[in-house]
Amino acid sequence: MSDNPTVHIIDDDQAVRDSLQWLVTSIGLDTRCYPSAQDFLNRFNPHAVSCILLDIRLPGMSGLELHDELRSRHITTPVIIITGHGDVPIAVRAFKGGAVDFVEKPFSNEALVKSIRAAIDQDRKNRVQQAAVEQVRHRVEMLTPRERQVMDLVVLGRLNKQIAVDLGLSQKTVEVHRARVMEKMQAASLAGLVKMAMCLSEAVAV
Amino acid sequence: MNDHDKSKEQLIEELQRLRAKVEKRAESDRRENEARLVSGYLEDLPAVVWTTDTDMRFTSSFGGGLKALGLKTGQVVGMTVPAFMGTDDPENHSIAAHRKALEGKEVHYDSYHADRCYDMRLRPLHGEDNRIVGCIGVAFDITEHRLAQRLLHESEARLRLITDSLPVCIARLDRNLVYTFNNLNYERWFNKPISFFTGKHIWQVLAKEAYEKVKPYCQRALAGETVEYRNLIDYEIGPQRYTQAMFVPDRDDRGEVTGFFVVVMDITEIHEAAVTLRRSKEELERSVVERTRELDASRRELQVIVDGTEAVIYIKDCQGYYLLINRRFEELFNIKQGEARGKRDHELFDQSVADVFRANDLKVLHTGGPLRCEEKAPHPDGLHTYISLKFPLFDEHHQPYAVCGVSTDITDRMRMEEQLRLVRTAIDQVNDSVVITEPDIDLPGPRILYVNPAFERTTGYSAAEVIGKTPRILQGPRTSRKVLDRLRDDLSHGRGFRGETVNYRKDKTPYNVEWQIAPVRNPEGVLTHWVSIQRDVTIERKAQEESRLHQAELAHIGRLSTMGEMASGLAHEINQPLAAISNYAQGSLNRLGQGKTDLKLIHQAIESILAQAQRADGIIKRMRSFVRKPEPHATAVDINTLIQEVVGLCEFEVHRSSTRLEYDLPAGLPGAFCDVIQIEQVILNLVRNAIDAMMQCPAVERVLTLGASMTDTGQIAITVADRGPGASQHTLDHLFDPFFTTKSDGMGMGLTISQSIVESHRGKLTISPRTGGGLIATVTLPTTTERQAPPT
Repeated sequence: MSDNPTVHIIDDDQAVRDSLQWLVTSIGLDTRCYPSAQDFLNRFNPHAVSCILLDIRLPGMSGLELHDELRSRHITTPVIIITGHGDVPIAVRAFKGGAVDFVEKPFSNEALVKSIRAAIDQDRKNRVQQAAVEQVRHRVEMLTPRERQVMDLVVLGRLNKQIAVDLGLSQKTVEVHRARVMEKMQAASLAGLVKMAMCLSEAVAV
Repeated sequence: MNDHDKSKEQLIEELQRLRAKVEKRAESDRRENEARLVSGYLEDLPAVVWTTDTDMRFTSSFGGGLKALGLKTGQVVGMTVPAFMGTDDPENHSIAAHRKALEGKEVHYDSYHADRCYDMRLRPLHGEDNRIVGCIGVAFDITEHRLAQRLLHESEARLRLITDSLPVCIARLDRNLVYTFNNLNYERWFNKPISFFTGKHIWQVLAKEAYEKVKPYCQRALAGETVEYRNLIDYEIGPQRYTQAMFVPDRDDRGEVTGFFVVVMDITEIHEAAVTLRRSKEELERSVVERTRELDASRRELQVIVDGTEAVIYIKDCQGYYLLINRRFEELFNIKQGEARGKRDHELFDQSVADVFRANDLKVLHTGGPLRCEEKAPHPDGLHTYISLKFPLFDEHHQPYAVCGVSTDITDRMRMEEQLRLVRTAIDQVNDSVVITEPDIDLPGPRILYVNPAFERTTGYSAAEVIGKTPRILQGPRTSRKVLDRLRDDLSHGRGFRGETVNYRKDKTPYNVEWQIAPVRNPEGVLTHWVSIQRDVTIERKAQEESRLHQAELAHIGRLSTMGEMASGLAHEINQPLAAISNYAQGSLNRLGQGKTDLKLIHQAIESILAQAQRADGIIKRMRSFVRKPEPHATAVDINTLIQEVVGLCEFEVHRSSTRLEYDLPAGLPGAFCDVIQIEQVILNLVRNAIDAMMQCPAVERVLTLGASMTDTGQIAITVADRGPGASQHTLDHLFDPFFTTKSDGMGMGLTISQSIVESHRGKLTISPRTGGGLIATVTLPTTTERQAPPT
């Protein structure tokens, strides 16, 4: 897999699709083209850094429906919506759904290129963040259930003594668990552990 | 005769005279003495003696009785009797009596004088020559004697009266066993007059045998003993009598027994009653013993039944205390019979549950009749519903003393019934026909067991008409043989079937049916029924056919629309090649700017630009072909016919969306002057919009009203009103803008085109909020009477 960012172009009009490919490759990005939403869903691989250029008017599954589908699959790849003649309500809905940008046809090439670059950057950032979350999640998975309990209470700011009472353990045991948690989570300090826990809970909340 | 003799004789004579004189004197003395004695005696007698002369003048009066009259001896002498009596009346009893005595008769009568009663005796008084010289009277005071006599008489009468009215025989016998008194009951007992008994010996009255029986008692009574006995005595008169008798000795003032009183009572009836009573009591006791034995047996049986049943059974007294519960009750509510006794519902159950139980119990006790009610009782898995039959138990005075209840848990049954009802309701209410048949598909075909209302609506057959018949009655000449063969093949292999063909309604009209048949199998996998779901797709097929025809017409209208709108519509299409051209150009510029001069690629891009330019040109050319816009071909059109045509065209949508159509079409409207196809399309478009607007409403509220009326300006107005959610002011302001749409799949051209069509007819299309919700679209058109003014 190439490390070069990819732009996924979804448009039913072949001329538009080809011309967009021509434009996007001209700024040094890879492209993949799909004539329909279904085709995209079948072939899309979310692992590379990428963004999606999505025409709102598509045969079969519409652009908005596809967008919703991506959301429901927790695919965070940024989406740029392309629409015809000023479909304001559609644009509003698209933004509410989390589209990063919205380009009206006929569009200014400059604006589109700018938009694509911004989307690629966004995806890169997302991925870094996600990787961090993954790492923390991975470490958390290493914890025993008891250690997990101890960690949850530690990050709430409970003292060892209190945790011992909460869990019906001896303070000594809690201290041992706590040390194991810090070790497994590779946390240098309590602050570091809290940060990890927050990062995890935010990721869950997304 | 000598002197001596003479003297002797004289002497003798003298002597004799003397003696006579002495004797006379002595006689007189004696008499006087006697008279004095008599007189003294008389003075002591309680009597009065008097004499009168013939003139009824008292000549003497004496006697002790005078004192009672307040008179002295001889006081009345010289007074006449009438004067004494104070009356001259010759009829006066005393005067008449004296007169009779003076006439020589003896008179005896009672006389009352000064509250006293006298026994009067008068007789004449004779002189020497036997002439009546007066009369003498004697009066004895008999007042006390009479009083005593009367009192005796009265008390005897009273005794008789009392004894006669008693329902017993009362008699007195003397020492010789002779009756001295009998009361009237003897007459009734012995059927002889009362006079028969008194003075008769007891054996003359009683029969011999009876006499022998009572004799010892008589002797004991005469010996001074009060005797009581009961005996069966045959009096030979009438049936044998069972008597109760009492003999009480009668003693005089010296205490000597002079006889005895007899009181006899006939207790035959009482005796018989007692005997009967004893006998029936014995019988009763015997039957009680038997009954008790039977009851014990049946109680044991009952207990087995009561404990063996699934129902909850219990008995509570009037205060609600449990008297009995069965085993099921014990198990369900985890309480033993012994513990439940003496407890009330409120101690065993929650307040709300117990309140209901008690209320129902009280209802039973008040009405005194059985009650069938639904009750809920707590189970570990929540409240269960019971059907309780409660009835009062009555004591021997017909007073309810307890309530017996038999409660059956119907929770499972209710759940099942609920489910069944739901399924049944669902089947009844689906719009597709549902037919359930028996499994046997051989001739004459499977017999129908059930059809739902949709089937009745679709085919025109009522359920009663088709049940027991075969679905083949629906087949007819146009029913596809091929489909039927496949059906038969599928079913005979136990497979489901799906297909479409033509069937016939009861009135022989054909309809398209799309149906599927599925086998119903019991848990053992044996085919028990077929269930067939049939859909009448006639309207859909027809609609498909029609929509094909009308699509062409719509395209035609599209072409007839104005240049401006078409330009707007085509702008979208033109944007595509323009965007492509722009992309190719910018991409090429970027590459050239980066010095990537792969001329072959740039060449291709430029060719693409050219191709897209040509594409745009093609679009423009197509647009031009719309420019020529012929005048509408206007004719006179009947509004009713027009609207019916429209309804025919959208029947499928109306049906599918469960929309109810209402009409507000007054008669006598003039015709509209318009191009019928164009206006139909406009109205159709409005109707479809209206149906779409109501899709979010509950089906019952989907009412679409088609109306027509005359406007103030003399045009005809056709209205299409929906009851949908309406529209905001912003939406209303932009409804007719090209590409403005509120539908996710709308083009935003329908109303624009419609408006231009209507305006080309010199009419107007307006859309405004409907009073009561929704929108109302109004199309105004010139009438046929306006046609003289030609359209400009």
